[in-house]
Amino acid sequence: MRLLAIDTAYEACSVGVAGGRAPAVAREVIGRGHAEKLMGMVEAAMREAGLAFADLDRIAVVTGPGSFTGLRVGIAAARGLALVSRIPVVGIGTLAALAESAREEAGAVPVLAVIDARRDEIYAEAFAADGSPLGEPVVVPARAAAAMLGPGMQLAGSGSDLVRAAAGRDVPVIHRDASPDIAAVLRLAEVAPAPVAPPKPLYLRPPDAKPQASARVARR
Amino acid sequence: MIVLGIETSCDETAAALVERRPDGTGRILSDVVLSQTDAHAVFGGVVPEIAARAHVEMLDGVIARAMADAGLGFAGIDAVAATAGPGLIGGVLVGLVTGKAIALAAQKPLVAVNHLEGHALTARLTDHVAFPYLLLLVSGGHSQFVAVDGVGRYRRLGGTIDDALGEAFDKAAKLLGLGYPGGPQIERLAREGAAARFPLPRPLIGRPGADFSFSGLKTALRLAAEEIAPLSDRDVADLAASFQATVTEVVRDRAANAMRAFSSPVYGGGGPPKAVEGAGAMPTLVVAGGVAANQALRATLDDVARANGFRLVAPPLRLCSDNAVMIAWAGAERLVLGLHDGLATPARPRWPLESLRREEAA
Repeated sequence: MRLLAIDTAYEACSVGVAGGRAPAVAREVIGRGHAEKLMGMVEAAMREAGLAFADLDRIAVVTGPGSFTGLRVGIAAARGLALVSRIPVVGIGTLAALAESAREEAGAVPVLAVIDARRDEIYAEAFAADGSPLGEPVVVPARAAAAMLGPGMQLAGSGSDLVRAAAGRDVPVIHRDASPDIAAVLRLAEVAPAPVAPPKPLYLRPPDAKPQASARVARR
Repeated sequence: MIVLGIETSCDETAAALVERRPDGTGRILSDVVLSQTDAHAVFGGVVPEIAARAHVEMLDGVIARAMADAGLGFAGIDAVAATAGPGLIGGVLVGLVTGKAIALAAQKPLVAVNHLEGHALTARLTDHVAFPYLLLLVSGGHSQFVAVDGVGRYRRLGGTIDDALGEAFDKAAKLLGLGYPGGPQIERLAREGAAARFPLPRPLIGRPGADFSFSGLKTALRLAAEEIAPLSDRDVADLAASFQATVTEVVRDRAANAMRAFSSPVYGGGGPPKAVEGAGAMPTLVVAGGVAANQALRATLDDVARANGFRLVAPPLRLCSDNAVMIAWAGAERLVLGLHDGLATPARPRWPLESLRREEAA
C-alpha cells in the first residue's frame, strides 16, 4: 500500500511515505510553525519516495489529542491533498500511535498511553497486548489515569511519570514521547479500515468560550 | 486565467472560482459562503476557537462545492489564492494550509492574499475601476481610508483611533439587546426611529484629517439609554436611529476630508492622474467591507462623493461581506504581475495593507 503520513500534533513535525522506491521519513522538532514547515517536508518526502500524489492509496494524519492548532494544520493539509488526489484520509489517534511504538519497543504488552495535558490532567487510552483499544481516549486527572492501569500494563508517553507517581508503584515506562513515531502511524494506517468520513481533530476539550454576560440596558 | 479563492479569516468558510480575462475584466464562476453566524450568536460575537473548529471540518466540502458549481476540476485552474491574514489566526491557518496542500497536489502556484487587499480590489472586478482610487474600508475589524495606487500599493489616509465602525454597530446593538450581528438590526430599527430624539456627540467632526473614533459615541449611547431605562420598543428604535444618523454624519465629514487629501499632491501620490481611463476625469470613491451593506451609509457616501466631485462605487452587498470571490480576484490580479508565494509562506494575524509595498521592494 502506498501511504503518506503526517503528524503535527505536538512539538515534532513529521512526514512519512511508504510504498515508494525507498521509505522516506522526515522529522523536525520545531515546537511551533508547523504550517510553514509541513508542506515543504511533504514535497521532499514524496520526491524521495518517487511518488506522485495520484499514486497514493491513502493519506494518514494524526488526529489528536494534541495542540489544537497543530491538529488543524495536519488535518487541513491531509484533507486538502486528498481533495485533489481523490483518495481517502485515515485518522490515527495520537495515543494509539504512542502505544504502537511502545509495542514495537517492548513487545506484545498491554499499554496505557498517556500524555501530559497540562492543567493537572492527562490524556489517556488503554490498549491490549495485541494493540486493540480497551476504551475511548479521555482527559482525566493523573489519579484517574492511574486507575486505568490494568494487570501487567506498562506506561508510554509524556504523562508516564505523572501517572506512575499517582499510581504510587513502580510501573514500567516504555517511552516518554508526546509526538508519535511516524513509522508507527504508517503501520496503523496500513491496517486501518477504510474511512467512512474524513477525520476531524480529536480535541477532548471544549473550546474556551463562555456566553457573554449581558451588557444590555433594561427593556420594558 | 482561473483562480480558486479560499477565505477563512473570520466566521465565514468560503471558496470561489473567478476568471480574469486578458483585458482585465473578470467573471465569477462560483461563489460558496458557509456562514457560522448562528454558532457564535449565543456568545455575542465571534469566538476564535469555535470558528477555527468549524473551518477545518467544513472547508474541503465548501471547496468541492465551488469546483462543482463551476464545473471544473483542479487541472482546470491556474492558481490557488488563500487568505493569509489579517484575521483570526486559527481560521487563517486552516485556509492557508488547505490552499498550500491543493497548490502542491495540483501543481499550481499559490498566492497568499491579504484579506484587506481582497476588499480593496473587488471594485475592479465588479465595476472595472481603474487605479488610482480612494477606498473606504469599513467592517467589524477595520475602518480606514486608503489611496489605492495599484495592486500591492496602498497609502493610508485615515484609520480608527479605537473601535472599528462595524464593532461600534455591534456594541450598540448589544447594549440595546438586539443580538448579533448588530449592524443589520440597527439599520432595520433606525428606519422606524426618530433620529433627532437623542443628540449624541459626533467624534472628530470638524477636525482635520480622516481618522475615526467611535468608543465615546458608544458610551454616550449607553448613558442616553440608561437615563430612560427601562426601554420601550419606541425608545430602542429612536436610539438606533440617533446612533446611525450620528455615525453617518461622522463618515460624511471624514470622507470629505479624505477626498480632499486624496486629491492633494502633499499626500505623496501627486494627486489623481491627469487622465483617468474609463470614467472620464472623475475620481472614484469605493466603499467596501461588511458595513458597506448599510443603505443609510451608502446614501450618505453617494451624497458626499457627488458634493466633492467624486463618483461612488459600491460593490453588490454579497461581495461587501467576507467572501472568497474577492480573494480569488486579488490572487488573479497579483498572479498577472508575476506575484506568487512559496509553500513556507506564513499566516499573519496582523498585516497592514500599506506594508505590502515594502515587502515587494525588499
